[in-house]
Amino acid sequence: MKLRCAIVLCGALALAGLVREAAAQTSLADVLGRTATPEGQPKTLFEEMFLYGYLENSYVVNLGHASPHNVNDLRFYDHDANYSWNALELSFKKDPSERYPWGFGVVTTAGMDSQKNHSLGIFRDLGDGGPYFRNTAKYDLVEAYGSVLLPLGEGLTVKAGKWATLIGYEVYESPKNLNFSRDFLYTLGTPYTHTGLLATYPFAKWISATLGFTMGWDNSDNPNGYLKAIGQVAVTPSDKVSITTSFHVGPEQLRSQMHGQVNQRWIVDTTVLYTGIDKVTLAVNFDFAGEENDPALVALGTRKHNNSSWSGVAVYGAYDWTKALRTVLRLEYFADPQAVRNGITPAGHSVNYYEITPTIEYKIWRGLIGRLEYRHDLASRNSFSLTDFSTKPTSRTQDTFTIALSYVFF
Amino acid sequence: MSTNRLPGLVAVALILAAPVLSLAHGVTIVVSRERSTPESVEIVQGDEVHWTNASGGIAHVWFAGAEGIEFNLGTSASHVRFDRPGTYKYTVHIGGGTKPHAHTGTIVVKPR
Repeated sequence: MKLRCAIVLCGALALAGLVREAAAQTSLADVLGRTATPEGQPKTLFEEMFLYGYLENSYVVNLGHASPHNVNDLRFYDHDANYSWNALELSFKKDPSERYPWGFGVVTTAGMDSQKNHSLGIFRDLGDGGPYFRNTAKYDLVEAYGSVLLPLGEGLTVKAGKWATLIGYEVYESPKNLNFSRDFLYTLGTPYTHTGLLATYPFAKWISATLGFTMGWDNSDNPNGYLKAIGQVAVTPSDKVSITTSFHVGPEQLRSQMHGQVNQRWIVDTTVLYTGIDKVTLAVNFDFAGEENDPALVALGTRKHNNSSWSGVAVYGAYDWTKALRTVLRLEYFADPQAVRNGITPAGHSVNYYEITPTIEYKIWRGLIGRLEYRHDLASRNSFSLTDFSTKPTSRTQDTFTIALSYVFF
Repeated sequence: MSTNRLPGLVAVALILAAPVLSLAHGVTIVVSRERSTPESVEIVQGDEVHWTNASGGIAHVWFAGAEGIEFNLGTSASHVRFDRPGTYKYTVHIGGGTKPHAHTGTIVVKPR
């Protein structure tokens, strides 16, 4: 393990010597050292193509008792007392523009996070055991899509392929999130990626709408053959506030599970963002979701009503003390009233989860970013520290401390 | 944005689709989902700022104030020329075709 740490560290430092201070992303023209087009003249194709990448490592300590195999329960991306190579990502994207009305996106990753992000059909199949997918490849093709800007009205953007979901506030790229650990909503309550088609249209400057279809939650294959609907409305009522509501609905169960019926799974997600205070980031993200004849409840064979539901809200506040130093606080509540989402407590019995996560982020040098994070999880019934061959939760709380280092290229 | 910046904001001129070949002064701001790069830019009076969309969705740029200038990146109004010195703050709301996000940026215009 020490050897692996050393190799990763040396690699990061070597790359650090090759690149300038990391930005959000860097154009291909900049990477190739091309002279910038003078302002007022049309940008070149290479100036519209952008590279982004990062390497992230973490060391997480469970302050109580982790479950077997160093599992911090209900966390898919961190492990107790263990160095984790979370992700090495390389992203190459171009958005459609008026001069070049086509675009694309290709994102590849390697590392432990890749196992959790696989979609069905790309490095994961129905036989792979969730939620940790330890037997799957530690690399992934997270996004691969093409897009085009059609000259209809204000411009209709059509995107087809595999892309990150519209649902939620947090993303699969941890350095782009305010905290290192993902919230319950991201981990348990929402999809990660979809394969399908989206059409986006700005009806006015303050409102845009998106509509499309997918193969399902984290599906590139479509095992039941049904297309699912996805959509989004983004509204900007003032210069300081934006409200975005997204939905995804359709049958996710195998046909063999539905017994001739069509059982829908649905989710409605809303994010409200406020930028009215200098140096402060404020966000609220909440979800309502459910599934008809949830297989976890049907399997009990004891219930008259087998529909499930889940919901939650996460509140984020961040303050930039300097250009390098940011502190973040996340508070979250996640309700799993039939216990169909957590995978630990017995189905049919309500459980609620709460978490508080303060994070300190510091930009150390160039693209090197360090994070210190404490997280306290609280459950309304035992959900953590499993014993008896990972069958019996013994604690209602879980506390972890994380040191995470990431290096953002480009 | 404070009200004393409004006259300057009103003076901001949007330069529409046709590229202006003679302009040589200005700066390009790349808008990703998380931030505008550079987050703060300093230009000289009369210079032009160009925003390039790399957010993966519709990026809505909005300068605050009663006469606020707003536009969607990817449309024709992604160039702004600043004719009055001052400090102009703007917000970028990312939404429409991607996960939502919002961030701010600043344009500082110095007298020529």
